[in-house]
Amino acid sequence: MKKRTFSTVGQVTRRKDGISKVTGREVYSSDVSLPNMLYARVLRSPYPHAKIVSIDLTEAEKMGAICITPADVPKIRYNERQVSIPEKTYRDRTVLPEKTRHVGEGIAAVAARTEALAEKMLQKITVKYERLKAVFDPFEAMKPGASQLYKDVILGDVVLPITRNIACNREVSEGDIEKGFKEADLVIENEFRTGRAYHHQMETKAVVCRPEPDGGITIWSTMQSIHNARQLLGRIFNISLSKINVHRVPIGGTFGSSIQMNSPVAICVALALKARTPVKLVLTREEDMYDHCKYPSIIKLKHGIKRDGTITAGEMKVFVDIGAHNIQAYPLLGCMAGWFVSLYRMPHMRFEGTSVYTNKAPACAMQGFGNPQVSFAVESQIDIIAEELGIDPIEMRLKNYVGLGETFWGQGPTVRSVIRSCGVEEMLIKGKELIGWDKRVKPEEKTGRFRLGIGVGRSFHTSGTGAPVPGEVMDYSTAMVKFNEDGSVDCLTALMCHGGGTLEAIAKIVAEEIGVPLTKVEISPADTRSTGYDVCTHATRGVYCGGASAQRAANEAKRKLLKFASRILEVNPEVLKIRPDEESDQGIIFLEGAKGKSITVGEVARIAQIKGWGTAISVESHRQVNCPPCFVTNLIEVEVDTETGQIKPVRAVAAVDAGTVINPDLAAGQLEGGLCRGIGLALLEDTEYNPETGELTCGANLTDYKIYTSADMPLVDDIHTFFASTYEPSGPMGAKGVGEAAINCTAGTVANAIYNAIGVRFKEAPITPEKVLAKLGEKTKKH
Amino acid sequence: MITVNTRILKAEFEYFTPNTIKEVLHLLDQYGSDANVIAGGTDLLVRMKNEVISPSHLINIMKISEMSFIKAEEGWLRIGAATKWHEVVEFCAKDRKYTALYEASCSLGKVQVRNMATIGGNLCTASPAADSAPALLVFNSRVKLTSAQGERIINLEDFFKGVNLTAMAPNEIMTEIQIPSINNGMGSAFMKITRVGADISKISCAVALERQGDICASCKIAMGAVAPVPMKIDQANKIVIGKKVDASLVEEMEKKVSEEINPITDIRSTAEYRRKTAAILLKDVFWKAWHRAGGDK
Repeated sequence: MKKRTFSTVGQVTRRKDGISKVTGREVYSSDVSLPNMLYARVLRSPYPHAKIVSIDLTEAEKMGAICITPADVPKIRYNERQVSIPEKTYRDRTVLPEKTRHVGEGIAAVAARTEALAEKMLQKITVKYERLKAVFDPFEAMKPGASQLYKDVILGDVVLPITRNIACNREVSEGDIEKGFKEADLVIENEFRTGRAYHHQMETKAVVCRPEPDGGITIWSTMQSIHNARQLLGRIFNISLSKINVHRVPIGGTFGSSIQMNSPVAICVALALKARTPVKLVLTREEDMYDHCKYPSIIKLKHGIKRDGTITAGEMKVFVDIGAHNIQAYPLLGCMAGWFVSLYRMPHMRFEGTSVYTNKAPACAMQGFGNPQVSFAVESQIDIIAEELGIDPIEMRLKNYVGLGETFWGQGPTVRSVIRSCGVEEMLIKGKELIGWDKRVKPEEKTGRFRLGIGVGRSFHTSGTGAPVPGEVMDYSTAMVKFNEDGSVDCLTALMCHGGGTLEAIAKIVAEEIGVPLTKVEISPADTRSTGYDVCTHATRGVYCGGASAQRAANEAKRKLLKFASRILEVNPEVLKIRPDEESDQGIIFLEGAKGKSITVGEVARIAQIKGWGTAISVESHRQVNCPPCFVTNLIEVEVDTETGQIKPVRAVAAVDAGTVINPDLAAGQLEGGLCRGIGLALLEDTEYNPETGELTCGANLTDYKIYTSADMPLVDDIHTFFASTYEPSGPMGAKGVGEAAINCTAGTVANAIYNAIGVRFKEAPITPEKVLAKLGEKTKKH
Repeated sequence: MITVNTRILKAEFEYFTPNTIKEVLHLLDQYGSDANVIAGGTDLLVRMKNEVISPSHLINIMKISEMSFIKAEEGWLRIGAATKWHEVVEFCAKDRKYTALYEASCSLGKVQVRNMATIGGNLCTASPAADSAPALLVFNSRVKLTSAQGERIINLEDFFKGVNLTAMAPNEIMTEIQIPSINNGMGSAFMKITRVGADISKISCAVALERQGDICASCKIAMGAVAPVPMKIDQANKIVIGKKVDASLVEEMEKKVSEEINPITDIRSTAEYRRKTAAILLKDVFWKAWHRAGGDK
């Protein structure tokens, strides 16, 4: 499709929320303060697995504490994430549990006038536990006779017995896998592992709840979907949805940690309803780290390949240690199958996924949702295969990637569509030049203490979860656009911005669609009572799906406005156009080639109001019927110190095929951020547990949970980001997503670069200096 | 640690902000081990929030101007214990002689921490990984401890007694760090291995040496995070003193240092890794100092 030219989209502009953010004036959930507000604290389990026998509140209540225990909360079992259709939603948790399944699980809560007082009251609560044997290893957990976390859970509305701690399984196959392996000249099998990284979002989870006189509640909280919180709270507390109002509040980063309505929200609501006054609950960093982590992976990967590099078959077996709750393991496994199938063509394939409960912090989606894990394995494996066959790694990828016109599995087996825009080749070829791929030499030709190595990796993410046939995942957005009498435009949507500029992009799309300057479009504050449903800002869907609904609303509102204008100008509305006008600093409606037949947007809106024609306004709900892949490519150079095992990324090329790029500087920032966290996943980040106590060995604090910062990245001049020049026909203004794609191939790329530097293949991330030295030691011993 | 709340200071304590050392000493005499002296608080507040310590009296010494100074006089560089790290960095950047201390100071936290933390605080916390300790040890530094009964000066290596343990009595306060003046020909360096850019070390090392041509005239080595206390390395350095230095001699020194240290496995690294990299770090730091020393032609 021919690329369009734009006046606002694709321009570098000043962010609308920039000033409030850099001056500290932005109000986040933890800044919300209401009259007569109490502060809550949660009593958390010191044990990984224990039955709660009794909770004695006498002393705390003597101090004036408002307390809740499992006895005070609704018994309803819920799943905090409301994205899958109900039949595919596994519900295993309650507001407060009768049995604790991981250290740090909340078991009671208090509210008091100050946080310090609440903290003191907590210490006056006595809990009697009956300790149960805990399991921390997924394979141990699946053994017969292992301690069981659950007897049963609810799937949809059906009671589902749980055996061997298996939360759910998923099998997907196409073709005849045995035939595929028989056709192969070579079969390569490897096992890969990735860690349980912590989201490390800047703002810890926070919530303020105000009970209303009419029996309703109002919520301000860190969340990626206000509507899902409303639905869940309505069900849990049996409150009419029209009496629940959840506000969208700017959030200090998420990385996926607030796709679900997090555990503090329901606890805070229960406290506020009991206290009959507003209650605020802000998690400490320690609590936050015990609340969630990334899904770890153990991936057994088997490929059948012909001598010429054609893949004949692929088999992936995945084990995921999900921790104490099943938030979205079922869709995760489906997506992991989808990521696997959609990376490289395999005529015959099989996927088998198993998710297992253990007594650890529950895992949930984190940037990439299983894709960084799958891509770490597959991209490492592709390099292993290429070396075995003597084929250049980039050639191997170009030969086998799933691209234009081919079926894309997107978010799993039920979400299939055809790829209509693809920049894979462009990014690999340009990236190859930028990094100086042709000068790359084999590891055995390298000498000296410090060795440089270059690696390549590629992947993609889906833009949303839409598909021609509605599947297991809900996906649509709603937006309202209206014209004001001064020519400005309001856009209202329940979409969320996690910091990457999603709402900025929405404003640009609306401005472009209508033809007004960006300064004339503002994104209205949103809450659940005044907005239509939006599934969630997750799955890299903000711009592609949310943007598409805003574009439709803008188009429809514009159509109404032009109808009003046609009455004033006495021309057919179909021939009228709008363009940004510098002189009036707003949109001007004009008839091409006809002088005098023009009027400003504001004037039309004003006349329409005076004459009683109405407001040019439109509300549109829209579901995308595709979820096009936003492809991503990394080429990274690392320097390995063979004597200390330290690995330093020294140069990087990061490219994305996001279709039309709406916010170029912010998209480049996403690529850099993804690079930073991806390198962290490869080299640094993981959470380990003490098998005796079930506690995090890092103490759940940032002193000992480290992430990389700009100080650890290549110098700015040595990071090269670029965008493929593509146009997605189904996207708003030709756009696809960026967000999660940015991280997906980085860890695999780093592993490949390390191999190129020192000739050692690491299959388990994080690849720490300690592991590097140990492996290098083994290597020297062998020689 | 899940029960602690690191956002607030839950424990109640009596808080003092004296203006003179004399007032501090009076308070210490009164409250002894129930009191804690707080300077920048970058270590102490973390320990208080984590409820590792719960002092009932907290004495802030940051208002005492006589405890914050850097003076070079009579053969000594004297630094007040409450001098902030960013001031130490600035001083060392101008006076280029104390290179190891400069490098250690720059590696301590990042700007925010260096604007709060003090040199005395870094030593009095007595962390085996204290960044300043190896650098100060190789310069033969000593510290002045003051109590109402008087002053005493002890060598820094005698100050550290164990993890978070020092030679200070409950009624004493560190008032000053004293570093002997350095000959122009001395070369020194400090390096550490960390998990990320701004971090406490997995292992750290400082070397200060003097050269006469290719001969090593003197050599002091100290390491951090390899034993319960930051320690001087007393044997490995003897290998090079008085000898013509070459790669094989340094290699001998590398082997020796691994025998001298006693590292542990903790959250930051393993004993094995520390033992292996101690030798490498020593080599790197030694050569850096060697090339900086005046003997280089």
